[in-house]
Amino acid sequence: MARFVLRYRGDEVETAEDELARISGLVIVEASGRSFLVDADPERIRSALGDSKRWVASPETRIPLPKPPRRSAKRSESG
Amino acid sequence: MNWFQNLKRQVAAPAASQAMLQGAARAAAAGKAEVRRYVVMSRRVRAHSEATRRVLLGMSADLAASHGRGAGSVAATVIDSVHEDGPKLAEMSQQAAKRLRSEAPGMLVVPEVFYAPAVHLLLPQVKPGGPARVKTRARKSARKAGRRKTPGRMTIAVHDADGAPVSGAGVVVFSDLAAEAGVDGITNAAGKFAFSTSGFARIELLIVYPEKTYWSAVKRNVPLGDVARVRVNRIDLGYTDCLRHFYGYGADGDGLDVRVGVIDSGVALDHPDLEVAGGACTISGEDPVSFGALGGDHGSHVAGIIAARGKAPSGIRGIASGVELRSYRVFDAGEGASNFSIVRAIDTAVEEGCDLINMSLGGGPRDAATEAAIEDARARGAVCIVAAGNDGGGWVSQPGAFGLCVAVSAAGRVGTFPRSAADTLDVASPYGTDPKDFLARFSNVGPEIDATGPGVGVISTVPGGHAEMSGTSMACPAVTGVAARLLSRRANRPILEAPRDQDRADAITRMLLRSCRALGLGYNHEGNGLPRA
Repeated sequence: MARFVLRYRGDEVETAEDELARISGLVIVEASGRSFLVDADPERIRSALGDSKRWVASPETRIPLPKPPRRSAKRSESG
Repeated sequence: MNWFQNLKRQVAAPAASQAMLQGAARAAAAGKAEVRRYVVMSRRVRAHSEATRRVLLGMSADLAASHGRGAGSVAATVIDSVHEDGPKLAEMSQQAAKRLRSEAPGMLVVPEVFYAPAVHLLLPQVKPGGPARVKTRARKSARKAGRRKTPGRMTIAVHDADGAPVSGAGVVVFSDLAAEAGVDGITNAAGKFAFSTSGFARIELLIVYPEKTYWSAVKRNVPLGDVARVRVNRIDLGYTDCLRHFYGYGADGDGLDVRVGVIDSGVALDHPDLEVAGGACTISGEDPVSFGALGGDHGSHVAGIIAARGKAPSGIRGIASGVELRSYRVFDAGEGASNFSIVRAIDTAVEEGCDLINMSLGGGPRDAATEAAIEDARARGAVCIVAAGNDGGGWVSQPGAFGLCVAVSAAGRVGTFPRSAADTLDVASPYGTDPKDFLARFSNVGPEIDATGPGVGVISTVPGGHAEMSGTSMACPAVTGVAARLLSRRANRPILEAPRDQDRADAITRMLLRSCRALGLGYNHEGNGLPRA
């Protein structure tokens, strides 16, 4: 199981969640409009939605907190 | 293309981008304009906005007439076409491609690339900013320095002009800058940072980064001893930093009736210079209305560049102080932001009527969900403006590299920060037509850059005061602020009041990019240049 962000690109947004709910082994963690955070086996998502033009899928990833481009040294000590 | 093909494309893209930049660099070195093949198409495969449709039909007509030249007013040779108003394969210079993109911003103009199955998946990833530094070099250098070491402890004492200690300041002490060998830490309540000089033959460079209120400071070749004292200078809020150099302080009405969303770490709700009209927190499991500065200072600094409405000597003003500012928090303290939070923040900003969405964030692989959200925002009349990233000459980060957002690099100007400030370390070539202008050393670059903004030593708001920061994170809201200022002008009211569709988003982008004036830094570095308002 892995966590994915699924986004519905079709016209019938109101039926999108039902479509996902019919996929066995897929758990909807959170839903927000066209976007869904789901737990599922990657192969399961691929077989169920991989050929669909109405869906895009991305693994859930994290973008790091932006940091100013400051120089840093290799060793740190507490003051 | 389905989502799995998209995933494969994500892996292949960095290699393609690298080859493209190398080609451009070779052409630049040879002193000639590089002509390459580009795919020109609407995001929806068949054109659906009037501007993109016009260009694509024009290109088809040129192809049918057998001379194959022309993409509107842009010189191009059309080689192939899928439909009359569908994708085209065209040959043109990088300059022409850039111009075409600014003339019809809803269109994708991407270099033709070739993919090999699977083999790309096995290639080593190119680290942004070039090859990774060989760690043994630093270790060897440190060992070498260690043989000359003078064991003991040394204290860096940081104080202001009145002699008052400055606590909480970051201190970086380099024994060997090239090898990044040295030590860093934070000053204590007495303004002091003590460290072991084991491994130090000398201090090549000493940098102090105060948390707020003061400029950073840099000292070179500091002798080893018991104590080194560093004085930091208080920031004068009337100082002409690079933001004010290029854009002045603006009028009260700048940005009026324009709604701007800042997707970031939250915005300080109690800062006297900031007025946050609303927003949301889109982090899973957190209170949806906690859009204050809970994720750090970054979002407040970004917001102030766009919308601060204070006045010197006690406050500061952003580029478009009249905008309606909304905060969408996706960062938690010390945590990264999930792409799901970002997608939800974009959707919420669009739902709440934002015209411009500032995204001073980036990193990681291409993400189809975020790209889809940016595309959907555009289809509903909103434009996402995204920072290029700070990997020091690396390729434009995701999602900034996505063709349907406005990607922003960072420029600076000598003389807009004190000579004693650490910002002097960010001065680097290429320099502009005016040699005081330069591309910031840290800025990412690439053919996806649409515009550049002032991003070195920018003074803005942070919780509890004001601070200077540098980064494409600062350049990005400068461009957003200019877009808001332009959009609120009477001449551009028809755009602001147009139906919220892709044509509106295209018109906003076109308005912004047409305002740009090149600084002379080169297309891969500044795109169309610095927006003017």
